[in-house]
Amino acid sequence: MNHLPEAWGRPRDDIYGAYDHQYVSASNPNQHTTSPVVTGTSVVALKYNGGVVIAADNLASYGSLARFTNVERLKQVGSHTVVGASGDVSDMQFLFDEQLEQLIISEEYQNDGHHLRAKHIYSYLSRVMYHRRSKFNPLWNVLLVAGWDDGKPFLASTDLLGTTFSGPALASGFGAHLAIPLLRRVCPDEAAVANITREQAISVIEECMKVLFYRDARSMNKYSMSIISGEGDKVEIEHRKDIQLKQQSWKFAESIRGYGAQVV
Amino acid sequence: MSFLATPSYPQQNVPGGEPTQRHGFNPYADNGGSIIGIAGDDFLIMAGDTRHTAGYNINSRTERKVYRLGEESSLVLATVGFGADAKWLADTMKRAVDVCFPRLSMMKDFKFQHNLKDMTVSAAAQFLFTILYGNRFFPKYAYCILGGLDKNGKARLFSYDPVGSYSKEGERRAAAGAASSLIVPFLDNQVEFKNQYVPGTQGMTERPVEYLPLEKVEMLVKDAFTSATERHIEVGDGLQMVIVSAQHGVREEIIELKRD
Amino acid sequence: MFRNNYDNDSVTFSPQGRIFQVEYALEAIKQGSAAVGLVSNTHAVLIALKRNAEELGSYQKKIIGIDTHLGVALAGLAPDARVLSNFMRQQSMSSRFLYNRPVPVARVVNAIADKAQVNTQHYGRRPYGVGLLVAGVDETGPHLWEFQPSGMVLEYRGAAIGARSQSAKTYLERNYESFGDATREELVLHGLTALRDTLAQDKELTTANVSLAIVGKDEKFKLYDGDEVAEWLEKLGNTQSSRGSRGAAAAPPAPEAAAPAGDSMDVDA
Repeated sequence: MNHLPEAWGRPRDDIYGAYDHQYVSASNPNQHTTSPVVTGTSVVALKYNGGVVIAADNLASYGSLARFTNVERLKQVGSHTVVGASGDVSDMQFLFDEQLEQLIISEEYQNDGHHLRAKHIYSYLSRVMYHRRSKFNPLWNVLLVAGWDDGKPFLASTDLLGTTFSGPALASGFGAHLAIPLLRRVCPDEAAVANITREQAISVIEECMKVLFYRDARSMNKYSMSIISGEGDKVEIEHRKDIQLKQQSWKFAESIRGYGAQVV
Repeated sequence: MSFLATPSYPQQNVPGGEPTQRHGFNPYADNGGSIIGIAGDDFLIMAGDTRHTAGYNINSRTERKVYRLGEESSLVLATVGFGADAKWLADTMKRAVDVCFPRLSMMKDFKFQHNLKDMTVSAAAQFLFTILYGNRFFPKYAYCILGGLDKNGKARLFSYDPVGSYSKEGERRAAAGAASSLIVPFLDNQVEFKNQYVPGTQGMTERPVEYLPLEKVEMLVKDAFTSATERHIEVGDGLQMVIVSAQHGVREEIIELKRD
Repeated sequence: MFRNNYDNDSVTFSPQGRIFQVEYALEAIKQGSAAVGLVSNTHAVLIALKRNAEELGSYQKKIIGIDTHLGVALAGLAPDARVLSNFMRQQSMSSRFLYNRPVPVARVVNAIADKAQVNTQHYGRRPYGVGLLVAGVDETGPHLWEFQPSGMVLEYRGAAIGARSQSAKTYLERNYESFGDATREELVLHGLTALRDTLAQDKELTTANVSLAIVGKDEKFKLYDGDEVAEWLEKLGNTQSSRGSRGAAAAPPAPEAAAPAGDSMDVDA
């Protein structure tokens, strides 16, 4: 122990160099998330005439490193709702495992016949997201909320800014560019939902996941899909996990110029 | 979102001073779209397109920007800019009007508690200023147009910038949002009769301003938005119009705009 | 004179296991004029008898709207009811704000029950001196709850609180089986009849002293006061108290529940 108490308990300067006061300095501003670290890519979802299909792959990336390949980014919340998250995985886990879990526990604890449905959970999440952005401490995610509500399919989005919107077909991240055109082809507007069957919806979502895997470098070939189907007040949610991308064809890769080994 | 990444500033540490840090988080976004409001003598039309954008993406084709502030109120608010702030403002205004309004005559005592009668347009206008200016140092990034009928059934219209500036006298027409620069000159000419002269006066006598009939205003609104849709990528999909009339009550209409 | 040593605060049990301050609070409810509530499969109704302290003054408020699907009728200390109803309004507002959902009736009732219970367990506090009938409609249908200052809440098909409410309860007990399928109008008339039974001798139901509120599955909470009550009183027909001058009562006379002796209910002027 030397004569400088402020150096006690710290690595010795003569060996490790001067302490960088940028770390763990009480006078520094609080550290907030200012950029995501471990991230999940797109979530895609489509309404059909009896519910909603939502899917997200199982990859968590650390920058360009495919860090975790078994991450679940869809969560069932209560009996009517599935939430899908893209963006920062730790923020997603905070929302899923802490906030939403607690929300449902305290709701069901009342045991009075009332349950939070999709629109309630969506309202809650968008308030949380907007509140956190207003504190300059955002949860770095885009969330899609899919469910069955008031005898109709429900699908809406909220993000790290608290921006909210809804539509018959939604996708976050890369999906907003690559999947949305495919989804809108079969479902241009709310009225079109009535003509889309469950099987159709599933196959369109499968197609989207495939295209995303082809073109999104932060995606993988294993994904989860949840199918929320309802009739009146009854809701059923089917979770399909570890779905492998089927019928891949990389023939198109040969025709891509400028990136591969081919010359001209 | 990620394509509109915020600029990253280099860390600037003053030698010997406290190390400084900067946030790489931009709490605002621009969700596109446009709104307008036109007041007649005893009616007004508030309108907005229903496209919601993020950069070149269309998030939704069906998001409304015009809000009625109470079921029994003639007050209407249109907001455009950063979608989350815009919605927050609409929610806040709805709650304020709800509390002051005798909601279905059950909130009678709330009215007395706050010593307020039904919230008047000018009271709502001043209140909206208070809300916006109250957030002066972390502004709600939304442009607002507020309209309604006063006690005598006359239409009043107010428009705001994000920190609350507005004219207490109100105005005849207002436009805001992505295509406002396209719509404002059109309304100048068609509502305020700017650059219109009485025929035969060799451009010496300006055409006197007069209130327009409802049918005419409705046509102007539709023309304004179909034109804006042609020339602005963030405007389109649907046109939501709320028509408040002293004689016929409140009516809402949604017509299609081009979706390209 | 006998002095009760166990009623100085609300945290001390008497050797008999009673908390006197809480019991006194329950007495305060009986000092207030009567309020009646009842539910059918589609509607919930609150009806209350208002007093005016003096000729020159207005009638006291007996029914308070909380939200478009919810309201309360009170008996006892009106200021305490305002505290509770303001709290309920806050709960209702935050439920709408956070979850985009009208607050479930049972939730808001349990919330005030918890508040009231706390007062019975902390030194230096006093229980609320008011009883409430909470009527509302939520996703599980129409509901009627009774709230007591002890923190006790119970759900009812028909309930009455306040002065001479026993007479109303007797009527409700005899007729409750028909409430379920009753129409909106029948339900209100049952309520008015029950309320009429609480009237003191030579009193009658008037547009000045009756408050009435209806809420239904497809009907927002609406309070009827003053002239708005006239049509209902017309439908009721006889508005006279059945006490004393018995000849006047044509409707099924409520069996006279022997008014408890020493019941100084003549405050009902």
